[in-house]
Amino acid sequence: MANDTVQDVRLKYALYGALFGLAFPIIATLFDAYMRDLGLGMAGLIEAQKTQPLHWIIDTAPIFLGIFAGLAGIKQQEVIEVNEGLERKVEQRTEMLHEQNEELRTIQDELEDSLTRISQSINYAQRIQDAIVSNTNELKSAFPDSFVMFRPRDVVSGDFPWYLKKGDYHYLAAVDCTGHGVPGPFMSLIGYFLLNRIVKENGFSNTDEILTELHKEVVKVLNQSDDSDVHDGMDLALCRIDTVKKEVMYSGAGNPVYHVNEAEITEYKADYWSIGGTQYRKRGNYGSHSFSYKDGDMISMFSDGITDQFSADGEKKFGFKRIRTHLENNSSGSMADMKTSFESEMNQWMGDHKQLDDMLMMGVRL
Amino acid sequence: MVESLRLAATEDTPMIDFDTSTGIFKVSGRSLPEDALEFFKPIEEWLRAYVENPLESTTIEMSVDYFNSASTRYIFNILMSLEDLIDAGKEAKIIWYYRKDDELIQAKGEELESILEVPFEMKAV
Repeated sequence: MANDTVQDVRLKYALYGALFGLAFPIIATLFDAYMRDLGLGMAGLIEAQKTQPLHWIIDTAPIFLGIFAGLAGIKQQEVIEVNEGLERKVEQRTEMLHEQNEELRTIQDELEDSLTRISQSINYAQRIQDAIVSNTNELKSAFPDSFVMFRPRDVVSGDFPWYLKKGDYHYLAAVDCTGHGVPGPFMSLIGYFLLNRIVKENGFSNTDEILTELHKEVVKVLNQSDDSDVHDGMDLALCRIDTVKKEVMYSGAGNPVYHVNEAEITEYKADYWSIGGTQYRKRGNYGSHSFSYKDGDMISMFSDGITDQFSADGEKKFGFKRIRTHLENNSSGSMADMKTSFESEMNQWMGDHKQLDDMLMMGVRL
Repeated sequence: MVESLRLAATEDTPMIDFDTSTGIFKVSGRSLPEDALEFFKPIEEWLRAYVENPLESTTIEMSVDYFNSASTRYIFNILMSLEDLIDAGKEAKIIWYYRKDDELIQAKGEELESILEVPFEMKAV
């Protein structure tokens, strides 16, 4: 079809050129024959042609004009072709864009769909984790003036508070598992059930022994042989409270405990070794600290999600000092108030900076 | 000799510049990858090869201002590999940079200094 048009245009231009050119010899011959009185009949016209050589030049006008017009036709044809090409391209592009749009819309739909499913799945998981975390309600009944600040980074958490009463002992831990998001909660379940088993069924009662056992069990559960790629585990601060003797025994893997009495705040430092993993070729043993307390003293434990949290401007970390100062300044009020004021201090500290890790803080009035 | 290992820093992983022409291995930035193994495994493998055929003297310069608990374990391993070098009769050293006002990174450095049997230098910046 395009080719037909090509010939059409060129031919048309050449034909019109030739026809226009034909007017020159006709008019020139008629005019010459009339001027020289040769008569306007065929004989006169032929006579005029024969006797005036200029006519021969004029007679070539249709040929030249035909050629020139034909050339113009070719140019015109090129313009037409370019235009048509452009139009086709625009059409193709439009069609392509349309297809891409469709594709994007499909991807967007799929993403939204995945996001909804993932959110639903995580919210479901949250209900399970909440059920476990709410076991710390028992902590509330044993120590009515206490608090747990539990702030997952992504709905569910690798941090978890743990409480268990056995005999005269109350066991209390703030546990921080490696990972957050999805892997963190997996680890937290392992930690939760292992701690229960070690204390409840296996009968370990000294905090250092519990940590040693916990490490062994995590390594076993996760098959952490030397060449394992699973280095996961947990840091924790673990306290055993004896309300009869008014004594606390503490051991820590990474995380300390603070003891606040009316006069001062004392920090008991943890051992370096995290629970789980075969990451340390030489591992130290876990030690323990014991201290007595008076009624009205408090203890507090927390995960590094709190100390490591960056300030709003991203320049500074919350650190230990702010926790100590907060505990000192607020220990005379109720634990519920301490939680509220601590939360608002943290909110102010973070501002718009994103939360980098799960957060957990516990406070117990003894 | 193993070829130098260079990884540019990202939003959640540190810059790695283990230069085998100078023996100075730098780690700097923040380390909080969602999947720590994915980031650190190639580094561990590289180090394993390096320890087999090391330079006479190796210095690790750490200037990390945040690392999550999963990263801690791998960073420990990286530093720990210097003990192998010392056992093999080579020179090795760790320089731990921390911001003057960052008690956390300072404390982590001090802990590592007490655990690792590698010459350890703390430098406030």
